[in-house]
Amino acid sequence: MSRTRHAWRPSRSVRSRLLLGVLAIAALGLALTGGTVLAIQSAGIDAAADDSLRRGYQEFARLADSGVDPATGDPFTEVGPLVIAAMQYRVPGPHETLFALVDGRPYGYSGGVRPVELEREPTALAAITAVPADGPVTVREVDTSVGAVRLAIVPVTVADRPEAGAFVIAHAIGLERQRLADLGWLFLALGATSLVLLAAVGWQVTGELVRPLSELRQATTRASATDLTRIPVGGQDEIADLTRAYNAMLDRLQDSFTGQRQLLDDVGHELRTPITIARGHLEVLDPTDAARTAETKALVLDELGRMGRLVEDLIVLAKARRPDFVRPAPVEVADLTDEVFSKARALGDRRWLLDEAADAVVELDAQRVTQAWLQLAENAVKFSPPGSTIALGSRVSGDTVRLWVRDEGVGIPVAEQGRIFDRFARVDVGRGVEGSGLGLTIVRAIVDAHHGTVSVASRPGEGSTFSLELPRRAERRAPETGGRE
Amino acid sequence: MSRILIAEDEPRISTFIERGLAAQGFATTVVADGAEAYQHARSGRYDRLLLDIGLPSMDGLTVLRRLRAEHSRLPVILLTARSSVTDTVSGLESGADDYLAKPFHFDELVARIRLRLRDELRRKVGADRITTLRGMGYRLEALP
Repeated sequence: MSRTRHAWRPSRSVRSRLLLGVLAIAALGLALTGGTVLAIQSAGIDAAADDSLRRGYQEFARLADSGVDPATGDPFTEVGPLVIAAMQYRVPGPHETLFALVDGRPYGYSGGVRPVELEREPTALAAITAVPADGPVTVREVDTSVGAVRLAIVPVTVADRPEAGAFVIAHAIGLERQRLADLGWLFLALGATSLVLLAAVGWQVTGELVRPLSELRQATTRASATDLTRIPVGGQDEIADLTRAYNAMLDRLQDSFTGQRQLLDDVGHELRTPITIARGHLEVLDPTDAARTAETKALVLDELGRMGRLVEDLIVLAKARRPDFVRPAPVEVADLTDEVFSKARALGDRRWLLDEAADAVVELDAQRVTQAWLQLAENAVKFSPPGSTIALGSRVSGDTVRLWVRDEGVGIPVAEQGRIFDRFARVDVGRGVEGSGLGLTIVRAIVDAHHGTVSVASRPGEGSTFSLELPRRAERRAPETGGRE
Repeated sequence: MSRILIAEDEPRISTFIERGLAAQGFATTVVADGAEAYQHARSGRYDRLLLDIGLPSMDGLTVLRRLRAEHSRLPVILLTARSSVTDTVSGLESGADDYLAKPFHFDELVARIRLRLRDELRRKVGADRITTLRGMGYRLEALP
């Protein structure tokens, strides 16, 4: 259960955040557009209504000021004819109607479609009668059964007449506002629908985008030394590149794991033999047999020594993986050759020869190279009869220095020459020959650390020549990080 | 006296096995080579074969398979310095009777050799009884 929730998490963070971001921006854009348009429209409705009302009462004022009925040319002597003439004179705009009251009673309407019947609207009548007969033109907005209505109330009197009238222009502004509000609701509905659509499509698209990421994450959670399942790569995008890089990393890890397992197996094998010998001999030993006891003691100590050397060699090999395994410094090759030669002479009773010594300065780790060179000399002693010739030499050619050991020993069969540098790969002369089986492996590790090569030329029965070819100048390469580029 | 053939290429191991088994009253022969082990084993002169897997010229498993292919029933105890399961499995599948990983306790080796001998003795005794019964059957049938 917790696993499922765990697997869901990357989608929630990336997928939903991406989607919520897009949705928020879209919603904000829609709201800004809709709000602005609605506000402008709303203000426009009020302004247009006020304009229309103003034109209406200004026209009425002109007619009243002239005091003459334009149709007949006779002067107005009563309120009634004046408002009737005004109604005939003005054509009401859309959502407008004209209305007249005389002495508080409805007197007349303009013709045509009337958006509002003012005499049935008590709030409107109350507003109209509240305006004093000698007061100025008043604009009021009242609530009626058809919504808000804006009224321009013009008090009307005629000189020397007692009756007081009111000419009213009514603009049913509520209807227009209602239409705008309807538009607003429509816009809102469309906006919400498009957001839902956007969310649905976006969920799909982001899902497609993050699915490989989710798979990658699950694979990395699963990956261990025993499960290095590769992820199928699809597409050409960055995530496919990441997947490919991940698979390549698994390849390298697997090589490393396989190598480690093989090493453990080999080391186990190599340690079991001396342990078997030591334990077996001690178990069958009769302590009363003094001669046998002394012989067994020597043998057990010898086997312990072998185990000790194996452990030492393993430690060297383990160090060989570290970048500071070799510390190259300028070295006189002639001095190095003399030094190794004098040390080698102590290894056994052979006819030791110095072929030649190069006169040059090269950059290498003198201690490690001495170790490798002496290892080759030691091998030469092991595989050659006493009194035979073993020669050492060094020569500089071009950018490389060659260090060699030549013997006249048993030689190495051609079939074996390829694998003698492998770990524990002893050429079959029995275990009587001393060694951990790691000597040449260490030689190769030292040469590799110098970015050089080690090679062998050998003929069975005639002897072997082992050569180390090292660059004269130490290459200060960055330690391998496993990167491909 | 039981005769044990020891096929082991590491002389220091075969030495102590030989020495210890001799002290226990076994007669031993040591060979250090696979082909030689095969030749000795098929001679029929041995009651038991201690077979190291890593032998020169012919490895222990090949020796074992060849012997079994020829229907040799010589009891074989494999010795190996590898601990991997595949080695154990392929050893037993090739027809080994028992299996001992190095390093082993010498007492255990002796115990396993004795166990194999007892099994074989039991089998032989059983076979004798069957022969006897069969003989009686003939006798019964022969009676009128």
